[in-house]
Amino acid sequence: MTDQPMLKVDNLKKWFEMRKGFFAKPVYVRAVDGVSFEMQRGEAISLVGESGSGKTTLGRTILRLLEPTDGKLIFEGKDITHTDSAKLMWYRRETGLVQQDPFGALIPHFTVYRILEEPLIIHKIGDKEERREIVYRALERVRLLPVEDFAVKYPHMLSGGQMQRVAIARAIILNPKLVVADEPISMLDASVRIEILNLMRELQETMRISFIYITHDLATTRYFSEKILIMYAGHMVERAPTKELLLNPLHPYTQALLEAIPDPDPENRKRFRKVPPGEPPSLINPPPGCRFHPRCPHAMDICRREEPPEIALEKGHYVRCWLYGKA
Amino acid sequence: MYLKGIIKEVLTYKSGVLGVTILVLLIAISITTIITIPYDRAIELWRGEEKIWIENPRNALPTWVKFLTGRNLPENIIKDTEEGGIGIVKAITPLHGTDIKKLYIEISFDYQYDDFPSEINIFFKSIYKESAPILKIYWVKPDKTSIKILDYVLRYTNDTLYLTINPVVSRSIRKHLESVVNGSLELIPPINVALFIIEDSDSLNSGNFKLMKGRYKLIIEGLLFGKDSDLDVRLIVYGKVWGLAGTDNLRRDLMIALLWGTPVALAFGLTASIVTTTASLIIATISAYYGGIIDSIIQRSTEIMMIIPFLPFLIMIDMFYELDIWRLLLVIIALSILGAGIKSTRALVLQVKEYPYIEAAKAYGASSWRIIFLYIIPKILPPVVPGMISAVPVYVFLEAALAMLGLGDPYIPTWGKVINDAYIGGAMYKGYYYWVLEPAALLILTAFAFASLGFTLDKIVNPKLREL
Amino acid sequence: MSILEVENLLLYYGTRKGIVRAVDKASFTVDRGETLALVGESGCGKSSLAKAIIRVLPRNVHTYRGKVVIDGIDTMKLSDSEHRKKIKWKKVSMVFQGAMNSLNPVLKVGYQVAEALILHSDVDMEEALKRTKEVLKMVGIHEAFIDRYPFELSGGMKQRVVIAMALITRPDIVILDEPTSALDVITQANIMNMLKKLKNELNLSFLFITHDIPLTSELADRVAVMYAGEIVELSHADDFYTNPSHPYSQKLIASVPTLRSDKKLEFIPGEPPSLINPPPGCRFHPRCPHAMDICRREEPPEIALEKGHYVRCWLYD
Repeated sequence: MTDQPMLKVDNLKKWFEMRKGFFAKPVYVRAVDGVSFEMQRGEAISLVGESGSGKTTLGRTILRLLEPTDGKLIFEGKDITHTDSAKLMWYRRETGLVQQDPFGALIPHFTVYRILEEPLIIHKIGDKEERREIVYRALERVRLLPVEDFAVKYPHMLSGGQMQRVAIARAIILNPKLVVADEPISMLDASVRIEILNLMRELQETMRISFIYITHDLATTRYFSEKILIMYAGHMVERAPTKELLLNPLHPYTQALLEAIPDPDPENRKRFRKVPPGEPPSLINPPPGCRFHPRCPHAMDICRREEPPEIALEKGHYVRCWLYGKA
Repeated sequence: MYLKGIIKEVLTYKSGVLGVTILVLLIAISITTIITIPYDRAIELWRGEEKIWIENPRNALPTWVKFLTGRNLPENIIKDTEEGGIGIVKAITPLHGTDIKKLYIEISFDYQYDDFPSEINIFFKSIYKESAPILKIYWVKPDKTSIKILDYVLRYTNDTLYLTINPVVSRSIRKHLESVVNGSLELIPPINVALFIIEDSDSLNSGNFKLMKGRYKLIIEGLLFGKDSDLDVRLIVYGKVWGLAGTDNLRRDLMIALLWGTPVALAFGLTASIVTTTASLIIATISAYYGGIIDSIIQRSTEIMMIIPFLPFLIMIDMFYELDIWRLLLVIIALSILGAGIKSTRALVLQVKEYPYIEAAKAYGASSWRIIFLYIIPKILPPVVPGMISAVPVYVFLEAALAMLGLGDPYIPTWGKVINDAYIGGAMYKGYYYWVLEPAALLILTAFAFASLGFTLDKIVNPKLREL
Repeated sequence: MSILEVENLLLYYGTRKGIVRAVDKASFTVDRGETLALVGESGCGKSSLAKAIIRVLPRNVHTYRGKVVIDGIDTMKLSDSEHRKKIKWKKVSMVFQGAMNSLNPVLKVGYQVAEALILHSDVDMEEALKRTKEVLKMVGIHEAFIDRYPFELSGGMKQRVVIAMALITRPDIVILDEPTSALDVITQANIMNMLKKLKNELNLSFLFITHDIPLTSELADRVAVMYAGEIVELSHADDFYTNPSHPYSQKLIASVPTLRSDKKLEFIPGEPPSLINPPPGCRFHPRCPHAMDICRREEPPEIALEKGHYVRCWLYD
């Protein structure tokens, strides 16, 4: 039993190169620009941000579907930052991915059974009989019953919710330690979302899987994760335990997010929401200093000049903001 | 199970039913033909010279034309002294005290057709040791007019007398007719006509020949030498129609070429189309999936191939190397693979590549080859199939066109070759339209079947084209 | 004074698989200056209802009848060309779902907004551009943007442009179909602020269609809930969020996570039914915890609970 975290992300950067022309100097989209955090086995965290915040890129990079440009990615003590794809098959077994769009996530010309069997075949797990057992057990876990009926269906015969369940079954069928779920419920009907969220929660608890739940919908995070990480323009601007963050948001951006989200309240129509104008900055040429400063109601001089460091406060609450002084 | 559903859906469209029906017909013809006339036999027949086909009339129309025109066009009349039958008399009388035998053969037949025969041949089958039989040959018309056409000595045991092109016969007839008219004639009818016309001065002078219907007789009087000598005669009065498809100038039954052309056309078209499409598919997928320099090389090569004018280039290669049909197939495939199909398939793959399930596959460790062959290609296959089916007639016509130009395979009977033969034989000039129309009709029918089927499949695969 | 009256509106489509009963006997009214929210999950027919009101119909329409009275005019009695001249963009305009991605990429933004005015009235380009600048200012876009192309604008700005296109002809009622669905939460709040301002300043009526229930509370004075092509509840905003009447509305509200309160979330088992073969009787009965015998047999009528509050449910008979 070591003290080291299961996953350690250290100043991780992922930049994409864009060439405007054959002879032009390349410009970089700095999608993830220095993110650090740790995760323990069995933990569920929410990675929250709007589109363009870098949360999707971060999720993909953690799964090594992308290679980090800089920084370190360490899983169970092993540095996998720049490991060759071919040598990462063991990591593929330890991780899983659930994507946003259930309608494109399953191989359209395979039956559900075959879709779930693929990871097992690729990793050479069991013989035909044993694989059948594993596939059926996975279908049971995601409550697609009766399993024999669902196993022979094709994706187009399933509803959105059912397809997402199959995708989840696929993500856990190799008994991974870490699953990245990228907006897994945002494309599902409202009445189905909670079911799926509960399912993931249950799997997380019974199978001791760590979940990184990527979303833009802060309201769902309280039902799923213990910790929330807020991303803005490629940076992690705040992270804290869920209840603490929702009760006590410190970063002006987090505060704006919380202010912007409506609860069903008929009084809403009578008042205006106090939210900053504008939109997230371009990731090619982010503003100097703190990236939120052009929209921040509390922007100070130093915010425009220097990027704030991450400041640790009590109760496991970290903020990247000059308002909270230096560490 | 997937296939059944597709077939059922195809049959809900009228065009689909049509296409499938014709196709099933063509396949049935192909299979039947291959079984009943095996390949070697077909080549043997097609290359076979006069010996095999001698009993067919030249350039005969198909028999069913009789019903279309209403005229009772003549068919072959065959009378054989060996086989005997009504109207055949054969008497051999030995001359007492010698080895010589007197021979009397009388062959009569009823001629009720509305048109003159095309040719008259007499096939002799004789037995003799040293001296060949000496014959006098007479022709008796229904009105009892008798013409001595020829004195003849057999040249060999199985001699053939081509009456209608024999110059001596021609002279005899001229003399006979001029005696009827009592003067000279400008227009001497050809022998096959002269032997069957009504001999009245008016028609002979005006050239307006009229056919005499009735009982005709061929009389052969002769001497046989040798105790064991014998002579049998097979008279063939050739008609103008023959068989289901008629004959060509070498008397060959066109059905052989038409029937055998079917499996050749189908095999050629389907092989070319399937191989080209499959190879293009795989290459395009690899190109789009890997991107980068592999993509660049493949795309630039494709663009170069697309610029090269296909048909002229193909003709050049065919002329230089005199390709047989299977090597021609190879060359066509080689020139077609890096074509427009690659561009459109690549666009499709670039789209599919971005689908979530591809990324998911990478997340669970699928190798690139697995993704390409198991996840991408089966997905892009359906949109590609209608094009593949519709391309078949392109290749069928290509082969036919090359054959028509004389660049095809000279040995295999194909539809294009028949048209080529027709062209060389002056079919359009001489009015033998059926010779060209029959293979052309089959080509068009095949094209229509595949086009209908392809169109139907396109409607099924492309939901946007469907009428909701 | 009602600006929109819909009575027994029917819209069925014909498809190869059968007749899709997208809108079945919809009835409601919208007063001047009032916003009615139309909520429902995907496939419930809310977009079809909007298109039925503004008569933007696909080719495979099977049945289209009912009463649609806009500002006193019975629009169903008008021919297509009359409708186009008098109603579309004159009395009612619409912001379609995903419209911001349907802006013409090769035309300047200002031209596209002006075009909406030119096509529906007799103004010339100069006057139209003047009005364009006005309406862009109203939606919070600087007039310099009339010379920009759509790709130069962010998502939120494009959505404002599309809303401007719907406002420039000064209609009485605007239909908004998922106006903020692809936008970030903060941008969404900004757009909702803008719509609130317009509602107050111009006394505009909105028909606000979305699947996002908390979002409806930002604008809605009344809420209509759609399920399987039917309006199952029509209620005042003050009552709806705290006390929904129809079992479906109740379950829907219970399934929505809230940020500020800790509540136990419920989900609805099963799936929305096909619109080709809806279940007999009440369409929600297979998933309803209170389903009675009569629910399985007969379709419940619209029952008035109080003024302006209707439920389509046998529980209230």
